[in-house]
This record gives sequence, C-alpha cells and structure tokens, in this order.
Amino acid sequence: MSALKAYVSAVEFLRRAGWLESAAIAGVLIVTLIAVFARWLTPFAPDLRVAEPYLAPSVMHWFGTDEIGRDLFSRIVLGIQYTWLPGLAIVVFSFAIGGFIGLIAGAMGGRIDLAIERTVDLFVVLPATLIALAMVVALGPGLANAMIAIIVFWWPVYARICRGEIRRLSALPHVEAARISGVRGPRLLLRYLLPGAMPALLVTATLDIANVIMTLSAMSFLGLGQPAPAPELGAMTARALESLTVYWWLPILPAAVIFLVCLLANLAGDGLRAALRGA
Amino acid sequence: MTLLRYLIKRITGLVAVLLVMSFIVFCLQSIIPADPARAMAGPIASTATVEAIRTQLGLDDPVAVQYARFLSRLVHGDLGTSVRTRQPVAQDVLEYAMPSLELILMSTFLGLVLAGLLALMQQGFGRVGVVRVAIVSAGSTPIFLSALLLVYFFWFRLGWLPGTGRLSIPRFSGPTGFDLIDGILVGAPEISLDALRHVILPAFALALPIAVAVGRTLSSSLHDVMRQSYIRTARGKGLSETRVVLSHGLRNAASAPLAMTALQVRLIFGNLLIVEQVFARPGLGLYTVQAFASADLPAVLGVAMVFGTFYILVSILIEIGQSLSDPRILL
Repeated sequence: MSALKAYVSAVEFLRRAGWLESAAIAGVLIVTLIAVFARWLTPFAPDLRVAEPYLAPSVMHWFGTDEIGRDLFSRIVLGIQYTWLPGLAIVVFSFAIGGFIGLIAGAMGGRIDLAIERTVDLFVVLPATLIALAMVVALGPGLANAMIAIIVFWWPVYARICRGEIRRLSALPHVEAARISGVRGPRLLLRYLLPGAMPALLVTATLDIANVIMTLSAMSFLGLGQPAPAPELGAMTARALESLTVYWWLPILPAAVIFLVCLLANLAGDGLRAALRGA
Repeated sequence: MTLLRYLIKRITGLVAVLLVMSFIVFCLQSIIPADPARAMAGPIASTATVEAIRTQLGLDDPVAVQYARFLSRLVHGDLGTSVRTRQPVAQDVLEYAMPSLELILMSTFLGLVLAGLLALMQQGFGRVGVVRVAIVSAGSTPIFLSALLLVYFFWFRLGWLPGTGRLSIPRFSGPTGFDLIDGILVGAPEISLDALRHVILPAFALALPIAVAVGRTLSSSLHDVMRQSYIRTARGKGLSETRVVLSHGLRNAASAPLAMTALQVRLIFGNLLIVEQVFARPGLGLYTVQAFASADLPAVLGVAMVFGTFYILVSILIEIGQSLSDPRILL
C-alpha cells in the first residue's frame, strides 16, 4: 500500500515538475556525486603532464590539454568538485543561519523582530558584491575567506523569506488550534511552523545554487578565490584568458561547464517550485 | 507635502546607509595584518620611534576618534593614497569613472530594451519549451563566458567589431569624458563612431543579465496586470491595443521591474570588473582588478565607497520612479 502511495506521489511530482525539470533534478544529484567522487572519476591524473601541451580536443583527450600538457577533461572533472561543493556549502550555511534568524524574528515578534528586520533591510540596500570583494582583499584571497564574505551577505535573503513564512503560517487555523491546545515554545516552532516554511526556503535555496556558484567563480576569476594550481573552473578560465584566440578550449570549456551546472540547478529549482506549489 | 516628507525620509535613510557603509570600510581598513606604524618606521627602528609614529598617525586614539577623522577625510574627498599608482585614490577614480559610467549607462539602456523584447516574447511564446529553456540558459550564463564568446565570435572569428580597448587611437580626452559625445563635440564624429563600435560588445555582455532578470519580472507582472478589470474597461471603451498595453498595462506593471533594475545596478559593478578585464578596456573595473592583484586595499576600498554611494543614489532615484508609477507606494 505504501509502495503504491510512493509511486503515485512520484508520478504526481513528475507531472507537476515537468520531464525536463525532473531530469534536471536528477542531473543536480549526479553533478553532486561527480563532485564528491571526482578524484576517482578522472581518466588521467589531473595534476600531471600526460601528453604534449596545447593538444586540441580529440578522442584521446576529450577537452584537449593545457599549457603544460595536463588533460583538461580530468582537470574540469576535479574542477566541478572545487566549484560545486563550496557553492553548496555556502547555500547550506546561508540557509541555516538565515533560516534560524528568520525563525526567531517571526516567532518572537515585537522589538527583536523589528531589530532583525532593520538589519536585513540594511544588508539588502548595501552594495553587497562590492563590500564582499573588498572584504576578501582585506582578509587576503583564498577559498575560506571568499566563502565567508559571500555568506555574510547571503543569509539575509533566507532570514526575510523564513520570517515572512512564519508570520503567514502563524495566522493559519492549524497553528491556532495547536496554540489553543497548549502547544508552545520550541515544539510549536519545530513541529507546526518550520515544516510549513520549508517548501519556500527549499525552492529559494535550489534557485540560489546557480547564483552562488556564479558569484564564487567570478571571485575566483578575479583572482580572489583558490590560489594557482587548484583547478577551480572560474580561475581556470581567467588563467587561460590570453589563449582565447589560439587555444579556445582552454578558457571556454571550464566556463561552459559552469554554465551547464548552473543551468541544471536553475531548471531543477523551477521544477521544484512547480512541484511544491500549493503542496 | 507627502512627497516632501517622503524625500526627507529617503534622504535620512541614505545618510544612515552611507554611515554604515563607511563604518564597514573603516573596519576593513583597520584589519590590515601588518602594523602600519612599524611598516612606516622600517624594521630596524626602535620601539620608541614606532610609538612616536603611532601617536603621530593617531593610531593610539580611541576607535570613535579615528572613525570621526576617517569620516571627515571622506567628506573632504580624500580616499587615501593608492599603494600601486602612488596617487590619491580620488584622482585615479575620477580619471576612470567616466568611461565606466558610459559603459554602465549604455548597457543599462540596452538591457532595458532587451528586457522589453524578452517580456513580449515570453508573453507570446512563454509556454514553448525552447523559448523557456533559452531564457533560463541566458540566466545561467556566467558573465565571463558570454564576454569570452562575444570576443571570440564577433571580434576574432567574424572581425565585425573591435574586441579590446576603448578607441583605436591611442590617446584622446575630450571635455566630458564620454568618448561617444566628445568626438562630436571636438568636431571629429569618426571618434564617436569608433567609440560606439568599441562599446557595443562589452555593453552587450553587461546587458544580458539585466535583460534576463528585468525581462522575467516585467513579463510576470504584465501577465498579472493584463488580467485586471481596468484593462478590460480600457479595451471596452475602444482604446487601441498599443495604448492599452503601453499606458494602462506597462505603467501599472512597472513597479516590480524597476525594483529589479535597482538590484541589477548593484550587481553590475561585479560584472563590470570581469567585462573590463576580458575586453582590456580601461576603466574603474580594470583599475580595481589591478588593485586586487597588488593587494592595493586603499584603492579597492575607495572604489567601493564611490560605487556604493552611486548605487545607493540610483536605488533611491528608482524608488522615487516607482512611487511615481504607483502612487500607492508613497503612503
């Protein structure tokens, strides 16, 4: 019986999300797996010279080789790890911090709510990208500092959405009923309010992955992310900028892979939004 | 009266945000790991000398006093001295501000035009899979990829447009700093034409994200507005469809896309850094990228302060535009 139920709900999910978006959701999971197991998936050693430098894409080396004869495909596979996992981590941290603060604001109300709301407003009007960049320059370039700088300016979106959802849910009859029957405090928050706020937060988070990855890879492109030998995709593009007219695959292909994973994430987000609407 | 009170409220907000931003910049400035007094005195100076310099620089004063001094320098237009060019940052910024502003204005204009076309296309064919995926794809393209592809195809492959620099002639400076206008002003329209040819590709690269974001917002708010009863009334009293869409539909749908435009101005500076680097186009963005490479913190913070002020001013102008298009926002 429950197997049948699972089957029916899966079919319903597919129907609402659309086949392309469902495929994209699967794609996002696959990209995550590739990112986690990248070290074992590269056809060649990504850090070593394995052929002549500047070979064009071929059957042997799908994406060609770079200036010291490293296999570009292997480096890009590893690059997915260096780009995708930090991107996911930023989304997860912003989600957790913003969600928690939004939860507090929405549940407490009154002065605390007002203070949090003003802070969030302030973050929204500040020129965040710029201050984040300046922050990385001040703290010193590197992955950890780039991630911190992005998270500092990223959580307010989640706080705002979570707070809005909590306020909306608080007025609904099932929460009212729970409150009248004596449910209060953390239990009310975690069992009655948070689950209702989850869909909106999840959709935002999925649609956010592409933004975060583009921001992070832009930082690496500008030389503020991971230092030289690391195959981060944005940094790879920037380092090969001069080769554009001679060896086009060196700058274009890493950037094209960023595009592909962002496209998957955005389509998956659209699918999730369609599937969870009214659920 | 309401408008005046509204303006006062906005300007107070502006000052508050500027204060917060300047405080953040002040804090970032003070976390330079090396001790500035020690750096100035040199490694062999005695502790007493270092202390003397410290007092002279005012590093012993309470933070509040230091911040007040920082603010008063800012108000007088002193943004510190660049470590790389050894010139006042304010002077560097002035030198590069106009070309970048020219590019930003061009790309915002182009972006809004494209956004309008995109919204119309989405209204007509939004349900068609190919169109939908194309729009999502445009929104998933990292700015350096679109910039690189534009350079590769339109400059290197086809040779239609120049892909680097601002002008073909090495040195030119006119009265306004906008090459597009200056050429005409000094009586050399071929310079303006040359500037136009150079600005098209980078402006297009910058316009793409604006077009997608604003276009999607415009499309969804048009979609809602065109189903309102006042649109039916307008059609019912025999207005032409153009009139209905432009003065009844678009005006009411303008608020959300305007807000989105403000958000995009915030993002444009990050993109400007990348586009000016890819197109080797001298400007504020390229200046900042070079400052990154040499860890030139005063230059980076100076640019952040200037551009932050610009962004906050623009967002307030846009907010006023929003309340003009929808007077309910005033209340």
